[in-house]
Amino acid sequence: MTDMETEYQITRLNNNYVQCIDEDRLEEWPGYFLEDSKYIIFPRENYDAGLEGYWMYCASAAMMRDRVKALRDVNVYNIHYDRHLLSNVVVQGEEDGVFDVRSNYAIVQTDVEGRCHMFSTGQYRDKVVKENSGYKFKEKIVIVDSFNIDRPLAIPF
Amino acid sequence: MLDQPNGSGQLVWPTDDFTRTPYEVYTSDEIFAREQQKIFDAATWIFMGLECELKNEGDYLTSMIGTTPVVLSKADDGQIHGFVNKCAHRGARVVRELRGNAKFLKCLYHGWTYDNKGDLSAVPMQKGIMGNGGYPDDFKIEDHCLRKLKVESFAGVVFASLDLNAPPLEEYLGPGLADRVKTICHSPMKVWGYQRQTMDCNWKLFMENTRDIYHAPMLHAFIPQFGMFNPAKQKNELILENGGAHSVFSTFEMDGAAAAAKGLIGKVAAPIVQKKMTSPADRDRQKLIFEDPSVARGVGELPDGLYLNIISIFPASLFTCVGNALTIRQVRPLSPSKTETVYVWFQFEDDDEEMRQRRLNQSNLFGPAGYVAMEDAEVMESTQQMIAKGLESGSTFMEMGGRAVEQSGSHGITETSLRGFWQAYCRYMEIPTPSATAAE
Repeated sequence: MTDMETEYQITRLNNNYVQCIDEDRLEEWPGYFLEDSKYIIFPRENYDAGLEGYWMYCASAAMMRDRVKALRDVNVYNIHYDRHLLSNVVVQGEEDGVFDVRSNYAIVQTDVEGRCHMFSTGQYRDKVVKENSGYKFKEKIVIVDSFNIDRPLAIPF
Repeated sequence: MLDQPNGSGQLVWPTDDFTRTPYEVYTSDEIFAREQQKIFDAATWIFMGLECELKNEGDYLTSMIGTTPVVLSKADDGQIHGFVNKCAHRGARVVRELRGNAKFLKCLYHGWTYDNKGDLSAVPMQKGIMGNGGYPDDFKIEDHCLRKLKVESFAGVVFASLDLNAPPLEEYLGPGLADRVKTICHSPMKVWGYQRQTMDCNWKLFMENTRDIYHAPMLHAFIPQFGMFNPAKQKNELILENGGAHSVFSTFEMDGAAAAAKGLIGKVAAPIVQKKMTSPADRDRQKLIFEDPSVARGVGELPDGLYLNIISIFPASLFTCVGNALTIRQVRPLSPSKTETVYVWFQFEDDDEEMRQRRLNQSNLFGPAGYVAMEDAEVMESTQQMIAKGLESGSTFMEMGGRAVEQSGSHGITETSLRGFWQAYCRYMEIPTPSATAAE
């Protein structure tokens, strides 16, 4: 059993994480991770088949910062707003100070003309650790149930 | 506009060359229906998968040829067979999983059961029950197989055609293309992932994009930023095959891919200014420095410095093999304004751990989140929207590099591959040019 304070802090980490993305504070996004961490967007088709093929693969916080630089300075994608709906944050357990956390997400995307549609849904599978500065992700694997994507994937999930 | 002179109902292309495409071919339901008949349910070949996906007896995968759902399966004769995934009884879907292994394929609805060749092997209650019902005495199980496909492999890559009289695959591909595929698919392959992306655009807008090298350095600012477009250090080759139907664009790094990539990254020295870009001109002024450039740093693994290959096969198959990111795609028209693409990412069985890591890093280049790909979906969707808005008259303009369909070239600053596509399109669609009509 994880104590309530830890559960609260980990839930808060997740809430802050999705809010940071939804509010387009992407420069802060890699700061939710340890330097030596992994962020992967993993279409469920591959996950279920035991294959590695990812949509986005960052093997370090450095690669996440690179993503943000490219999004800001180089890449072009659909003009939109994202809104994460995060629910059911569950701390599954803890081993050697690493918390195994799962939660559900849905992203509703609104386009440049104000129309919204359900963009993506799936599960976050996180490894979370406590550092002096607070809780951080050591790993975040986004398993995407809706593996047939219908818009560019520019902004991280 | 596609003309229908004298109310004959016959379509005529607007020009004798293929520098113009009438916008209505991207939006019309009638054209879409005709394409299914004349291009997809016809003597063309579509990429289905890799032989290694169907290694064992009973392995199957589901796929599409145009809007027709199909199944490929390895049967007890050691061959890969293909058939339409539509029960011969009442048209229900026979195979429901994306892929798997099964000795028999059984329709959910009434239990009609097929073998891995698509032949019917059992029908429940065929003779009725206790003298009641059953099929008439002249019912023959062998008369009710699933519609068969023609299936052929080349260099471990499997293609299928709905036309049993389609020309041999290698002949259809043509020697230059076949040779390049053989070079890329040089040893036993392994699939390491799939990606599916649906775009709100006509399938031909997507296929044109695969032949349009001109757009790459402008739309994909990542490419010049990382020295991926550098005529001084690269030799390009363009080959058209099958009367312009297929296009092969290849780049050879003249001093070795890794060295070139490294050297060029090293030269990018301007500091990054963190601000939101508002226009393409802003993007061009920025210099991008990656903390971890491994995403764009490939190691040459093909002979003669061959580093980049974009092979667009008429009507709807595509190899995008850049550095160590190796993919083959199938393009599926869903409607005039919706297209699905399915990527197969492959590697080689004898890859070492370093190569595995390289492929993982470089997979960031393509796919829905691809550094050099995400713009394509955006531009194709917005183009489709604009084409569909207002009156559907007018046509595109494609005279970059001249007006002819040149069969080969040494650069990508030409739209010959697009003109070739439309030339082949008109041939399959049986749409004559104005002078051909006048001559009749």
